[in-house]
Amino acid sequence: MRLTLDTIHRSEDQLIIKAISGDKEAFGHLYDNYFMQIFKYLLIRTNTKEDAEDMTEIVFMKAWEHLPNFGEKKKERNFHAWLFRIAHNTLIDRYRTKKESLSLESALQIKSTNAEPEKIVLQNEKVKMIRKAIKMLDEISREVIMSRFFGGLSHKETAQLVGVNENNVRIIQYRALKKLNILLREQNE
Amino acid sequence: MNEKRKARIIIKCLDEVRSGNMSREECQQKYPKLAEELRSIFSSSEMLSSIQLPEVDPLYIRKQKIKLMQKLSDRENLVTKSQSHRYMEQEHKPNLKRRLKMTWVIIVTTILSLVSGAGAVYASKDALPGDVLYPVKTWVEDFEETSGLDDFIDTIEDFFEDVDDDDDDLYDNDDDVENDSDDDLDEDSDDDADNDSDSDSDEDLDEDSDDDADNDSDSDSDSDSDTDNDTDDDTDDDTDNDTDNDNDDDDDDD
Repeated sequence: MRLTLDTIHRSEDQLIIKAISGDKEAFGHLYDNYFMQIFKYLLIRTNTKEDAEDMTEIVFMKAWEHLPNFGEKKKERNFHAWLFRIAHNTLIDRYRTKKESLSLESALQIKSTNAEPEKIVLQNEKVKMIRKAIKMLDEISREVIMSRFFGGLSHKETAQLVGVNENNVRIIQYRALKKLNILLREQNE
Repeated sequence: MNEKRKARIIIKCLDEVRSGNMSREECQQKYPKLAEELRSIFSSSEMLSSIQLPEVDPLYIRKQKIKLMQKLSDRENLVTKSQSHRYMEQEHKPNLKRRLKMTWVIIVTTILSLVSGAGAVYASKDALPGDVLYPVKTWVEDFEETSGLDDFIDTIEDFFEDVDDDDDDLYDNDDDVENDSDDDLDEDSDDDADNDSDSDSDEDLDEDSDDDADNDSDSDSDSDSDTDNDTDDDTDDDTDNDTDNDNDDDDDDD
């Protein structure tokens, strides 16, 4: 298992080096590896699927543009976390210029499009509850929950994204989940 | 149990359950004291995980990728591979030798800056308005005044002045000794000069007496004219002697 992970990291390093040198094909492989994670992360934070698609493209464009500077800062040596940092900043820029508030409703409702009408209603109710509960969390807790549950980031990567250490990420996640449980229970009552 | 430890255990359990390495029950049995908290955490986690995001069509991803690749600008040709090398070095091989080299560069640069800065400040001491270093001088003076260095420098200068005065006293004593010997030499030379002038005057007198004798033999009665002639001759002779002496001196100088 360890050997496999090492091999993956080594091959990813090679892809990054090639992409830095201007190899678009290598960058294409990186795109394949990370597209879904970035898209899901953005989908959960944006209003519509179209927004998520546009922003995913912007994220990879920015990544290509700034790839020669990758690794300059010690804390940004993890490509996964670096890419999520770009996504996070893109999201902030987008909503700062558009003057829109971050909404989870539309994105969370997408999942129910192929389901039966009864289930759709129930699902929408559930989604509304979760959305309301997540909205009540503070920004850093929300970011940690999004990164861990929808972005697929590890504790280390989340720590790099949020700018705290790994132990703090665990504590923030623990507190956030505890608070979510209380909020969801209150809404059910 | 403190919160930090509790968070570490619970989140570790949650990760194990999410990755399928452990069941909820196993986790709760392992940590019976935290069973209740684990239950609430699992519940929240399940709620979040139940939100299934739509699966994206692979064909759509491929299409998006082609679109992106067309939009990507060509990277400028890099002169060296320093950037990728830099990444590799940072990730895998920390080059201590190179880092130390850079440290030396910093040390040398700092020393040079300090030396040149101090040199500029020292050189600006005598700068006048219009000189290149005059602004440095004014700046240093302002700094000395504002930082209280002025008083400190005055104290140091007073100290050195006192030391100089003591040294001067010592030198003065030496000078007295030297001056005494010089005076003696001067007196000797004056005596020589007097002697020379005496001999000259003697010669003059001798010549005068000869002339007087001649004149006396020419006309005894006309005494006034005799005296006039005497004086004329004397002066002529004197001037001749002077010019001769001057020429001699010139020769010596040459």
